[in-house]
Amino acid sequence: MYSSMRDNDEYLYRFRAYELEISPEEIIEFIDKNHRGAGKEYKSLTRDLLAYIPDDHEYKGELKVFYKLCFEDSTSSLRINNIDFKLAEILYNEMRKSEMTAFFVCTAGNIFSDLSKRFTAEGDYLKAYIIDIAGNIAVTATATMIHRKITEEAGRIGMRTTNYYCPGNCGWNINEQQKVFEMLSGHYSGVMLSEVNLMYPVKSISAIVGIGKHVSFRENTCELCHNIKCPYRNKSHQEGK
Amino acid sequence: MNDLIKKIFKCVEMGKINLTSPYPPDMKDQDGADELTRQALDNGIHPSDILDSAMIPAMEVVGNKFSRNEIFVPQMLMSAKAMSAAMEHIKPFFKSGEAKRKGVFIIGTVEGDLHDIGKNLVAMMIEGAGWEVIDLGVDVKTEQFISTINEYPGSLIGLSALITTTMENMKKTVNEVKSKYPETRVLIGGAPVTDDFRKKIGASFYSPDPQGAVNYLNSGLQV
Ligand code: B12
Repeated sequence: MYSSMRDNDEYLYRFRAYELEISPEEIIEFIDKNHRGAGKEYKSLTRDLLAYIPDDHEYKGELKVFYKLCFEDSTSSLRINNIDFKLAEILYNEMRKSEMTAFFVCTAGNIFSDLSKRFTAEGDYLKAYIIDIAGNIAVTATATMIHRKITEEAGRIGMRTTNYYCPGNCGWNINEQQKVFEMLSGHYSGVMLSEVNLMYPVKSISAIVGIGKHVSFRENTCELCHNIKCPYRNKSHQEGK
Repeated sequence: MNDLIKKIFKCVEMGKINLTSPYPPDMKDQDGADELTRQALDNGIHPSDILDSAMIPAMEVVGNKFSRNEIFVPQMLMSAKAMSAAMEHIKPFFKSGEAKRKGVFIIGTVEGDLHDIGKNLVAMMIEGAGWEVIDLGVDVKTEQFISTINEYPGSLIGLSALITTTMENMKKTVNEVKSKYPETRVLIGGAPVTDDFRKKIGASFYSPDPQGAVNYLNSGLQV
């Protein structure tokens, strides 16, 4: 990690499960929380399943910082290096005070989805479901950890960060994912973008983070948005159902 | 009701797969859906009786409990697994014609979307209701749906979408299917989908949960 953030700085992250604190307990707690106590019964199964993931499995991500931001209030767009991001109003307002931005992509790799597919083919639906959830928790934990690292780094130069926002969140069209990838110019930690803008491995997340003295982090991003009919209102990305 | 039929019913409802399965804990060391279905067939019980009086109605109970939030995804998956353990014994009778499936249901997550947990649950419950399910997976293009309908004339379609922008692709698929096969029933679902949206795009049915789709399929397909 560099001592201070400069324009076009690139960061490469590699984490192990213990650093991300992805333990059977956390997965059980997640299932419990979302399924009213149904997780505890499957404690030993969850433990057995996580044993399929080698201890040295790497959770990877890459991030790049940009300084030259050009905000266009009339269209709610942000231009960086001739790439025009149509952020939609809510996200634009969140980013507006940024002095720099970071883009990142991160992944938990193929292992979780591959295992899930295998269990499904064997008719072991519960195993398939638990390992799939473990993959979701793992990639979300990776994104959260990258966000934490960049927040620490920003703190060193007296700045703060916004939340990380993914294409598809807060009215930001998912097709803009292509532009996020363009910003990262080839440094994707092995993640590929399909022609319909889906990332493979599936357990991957791409995002933007605003950095500046006057930006803020939100505990609840839904309160920014006026779409009270949104089916996803107050359901965080990690929560599921 | 025959005792074995009753027991198979209970195993599927509670998700007791086989003798060695530790779930649910209060049925430990008892035969599961696997052994009991074998025993029922060996005792001369007709495979379609096992299907119609035990397996399918048990899955219906499970689907309804899930709709009422009385059980959650893990329990539903255990029941689906118990159902499929029993189904292994019934399958040969589909080939011989002694047992029949209700029809073919083709399901997939629409193009541009790869959220599949919900779609998988719907597929499982519809299979549990006695239908043959062809799961095309995720990021499924309209052409794939069309060519599969071609392969299975008279089939029904289920589309899932979790991203608001991919709901547009749902519209495209519904349009194409309806123009090539006007008779084909298209069911849609996924967290952002609503019944208003269904009306707008001309799909046949919307359900917020798997059991709603099962009930619709079983109702003789009236809208
Ligand atoms: C789990 C999840 C993921 C997992 C995917 C896991 C998987 N195998 O599917 C991961 C972490 C990988 C992921 C990634 C992404 N995700 Co995501 N994800 C979710 C999450 C948290 C839960 C979805 C889920 O599984 N729910 C549980 C199931 C059981 O519910 P369900 O799908 O609704 O299904 C039920 C019903 O709807 C119904 N049903 C479903 N289908 C059908 C079909 C028929 C015919 C019928 C009748 C019924 C029916 O029955 C089911 C059972 O009751 C949602 C948020 C949420 N709360 O929904 C976001 C969410 C869908 N994701 C979102 C986004 C944007 C993404 C990304 C594009 C973000 C990014 N840029 O990085 C990426 C794409 C990744 C890629 N590879 O390209 C957004 C979509 C926003 C929008 N505007 O629409 C959401 C809403 C999160 C958010 N708040 O921003 N995601």
